[in-house]
Amino acid sequence: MQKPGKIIPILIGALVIDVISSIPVLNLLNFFFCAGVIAGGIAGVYYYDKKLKAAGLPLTYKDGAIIGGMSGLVSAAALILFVTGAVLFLKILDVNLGSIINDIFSKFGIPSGRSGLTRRIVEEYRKYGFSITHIIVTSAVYGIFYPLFGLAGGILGVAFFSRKNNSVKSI
Amino acid sequence: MDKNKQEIKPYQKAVYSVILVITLLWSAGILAAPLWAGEPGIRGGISDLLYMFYSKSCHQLESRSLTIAGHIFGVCSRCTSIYAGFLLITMIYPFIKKLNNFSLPPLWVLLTGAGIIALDVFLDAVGVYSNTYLSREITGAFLGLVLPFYIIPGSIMLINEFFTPPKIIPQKEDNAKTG
Repeated sequence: MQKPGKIIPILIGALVIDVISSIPVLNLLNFFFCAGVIAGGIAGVYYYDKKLKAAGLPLTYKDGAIIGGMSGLVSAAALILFVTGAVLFLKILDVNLGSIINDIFSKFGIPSGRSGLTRRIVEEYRKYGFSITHIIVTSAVYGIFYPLFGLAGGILGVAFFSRKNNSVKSI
Repeated sequence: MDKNKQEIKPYQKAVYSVILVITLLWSAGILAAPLWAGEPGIRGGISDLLYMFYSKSCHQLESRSLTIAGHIFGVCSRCTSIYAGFLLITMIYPFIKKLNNFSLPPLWVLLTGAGIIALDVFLDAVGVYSNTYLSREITGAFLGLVLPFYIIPGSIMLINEFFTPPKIIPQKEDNAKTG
């Protein structure tokens, strides 16, 4: 019997990740070991496990990894597009993000240990209204963190939901 | 055959080694960020990148972070404990559990680890008590110490599934056609 498609579980996982990452206060969850991203991976696997159970098929680590990792990747891509779009939209509206960031840093100071790159990003925002360096760095960081923690969520999800059927103890 | 006497396969060692290397690099970055902070040239740039990298998974508040060389670690004290616990167990994992043993600890162990952190954060947030460096480090370390027992066997099982051809089970319809 063919297994159910994984696109819907991946999108559900990605949606959970992006909702948690975008809503103020709720996004603090990601400050705890990227718990929001892990939760998204688990949510996708939970949905897929329901589909598999209905079809009488077992959940595997491979399923969990694909759903978790891809949920992370899709949510990272959506987040990068959203952030880039928002920055460009604010530029069109003539909102000077550089001066806003400058104000924040002059009020609270540049975080400990950061200087060169942070200053460069602020400078770019001040000059051009957006920072290509910030977009590249953020994209790279999201591109690593979200798929990696999504993958961990997928693996943990399989460990959670397949325990009853898990008869393989060693290979 | 006794599973402890079963041979550990090369792919199991390879998966474990990859997890160990990633964990070592991840932990080294947490220390490299403050040690290279403020230095001119490439080291200072790498330090900046590392702080930005870890900022996606940690608040990096100075009041809740350990410091070295006058700068905060790449992550807060709780996250440092999680990663340190994870690194410690990953390093000694083959000595406490065979890589070909895929049995997982009970689920309540992991949930307890996450639960006590949530409780520590919640009680502090509502003002019942103020958590300390010690409470944050102990609760963080507990979770870090248990996580590898789920992640390592899970990852080895994952690679095994990717490279093992699926079992072909003849379906009833096929049987009916051929029969």
